[in-house]
Amino acid sequence: MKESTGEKNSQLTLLATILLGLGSMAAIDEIIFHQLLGWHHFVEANSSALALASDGFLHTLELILLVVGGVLLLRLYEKKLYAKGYQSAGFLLGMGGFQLFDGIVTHKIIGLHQVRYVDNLLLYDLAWNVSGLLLLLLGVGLLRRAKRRLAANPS
Amino acid sequence: MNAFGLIFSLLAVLYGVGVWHLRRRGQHWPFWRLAIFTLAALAVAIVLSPPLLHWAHHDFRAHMMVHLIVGMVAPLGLVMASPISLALKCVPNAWGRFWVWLVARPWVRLVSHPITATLLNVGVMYVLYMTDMYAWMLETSWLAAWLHWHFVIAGCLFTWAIAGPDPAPQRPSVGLRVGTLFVAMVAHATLAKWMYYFHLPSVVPLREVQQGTELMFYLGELTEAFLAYRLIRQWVKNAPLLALNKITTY
Repeated sequence: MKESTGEKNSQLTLLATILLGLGSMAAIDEIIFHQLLGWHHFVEANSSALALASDGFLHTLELILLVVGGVLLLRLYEKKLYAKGYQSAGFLLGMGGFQLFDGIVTHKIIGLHQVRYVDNLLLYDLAWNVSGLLLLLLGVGLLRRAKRRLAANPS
Repeated sequence: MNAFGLIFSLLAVLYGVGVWHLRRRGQHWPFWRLAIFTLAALAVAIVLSPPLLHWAHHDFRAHMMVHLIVGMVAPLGLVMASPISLALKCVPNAWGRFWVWLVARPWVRLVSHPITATLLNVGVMYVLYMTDMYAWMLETSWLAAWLHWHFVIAGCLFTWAIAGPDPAPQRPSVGLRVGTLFVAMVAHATLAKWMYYFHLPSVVPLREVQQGTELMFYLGELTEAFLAYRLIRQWVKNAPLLALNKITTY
């Protein structure tokens, strides 16, 4: 099976922008909820050495993925290989995906930190994860549109 | 002025003389390299001057700022300015052959390997901040002076081993360097969080430790992200699909 150049470019564009979206959402969360609102902190009370290390690991991973995504997209632009329509789809998929991952895995399964340290946490968790799901669905919609357009007009 | 100020001012002057020498021969050398080298060398000379060192000795936030500048920020400027390449263009060929011979020595390759450079850099930080060494350093002036040298040299070694532009034969693969940089970044971020949470070094008031380690975390991350950018850009440019079609010479 031969893969056309158009398909390859769209996949790389998608990969680059998913990574960028993921890293950007992580940065936005950090800036808004930690730095500006102060809902969670640099280090939470009742942390363990392992929880702090995994926090350091996830944070570094996000930063590296942001850099990889940015460098990849820059290169795709330089080589004029980026696929139109796939950038916004990938960016939203990355943002929504990160938000959901953060809301379900980081907050609930590993329990590194919570959205906010209040009694009525359910409301905050719902808002967090629903917003993530909405971004993700919007990304899926844009991806389907981009694919339709590519199929209708392969160039 | 102390030894740091003298040596780093001298290095900046030498670099300037080298660029002047090249220009006179009609050879091109980018101005930005001269600018970042001079700025970085002066930054080291200034933050390691006696009044600032005195302040850093008594305030952990100042100590951290000094270490971040001499160990992470300044090495970026010193190494990214390609001082070895400049020097090799200015000296007789025999010196160039000596350099090639020197960097091929097994011990030089061992010390300048990314993993060794990481251990010398982040590994020594773990020892300094998690053991009693910090308290010992506060009382022992020769140890304090040596540690400043250590962090400048180890910082430059690390920057060069990971993403330095100066020539190095048989450099480890980009994949290994990306992996090593990643581990170093995790280790640095984790150390900052552990120091914050477990109040290390314990001789320092907790508030100073907390503010110092936040500086360490964010400013450290910024310089490491720049290093990652340089390295991953090389990586992406070498990928078959993304490489340039025509051969270009730099």
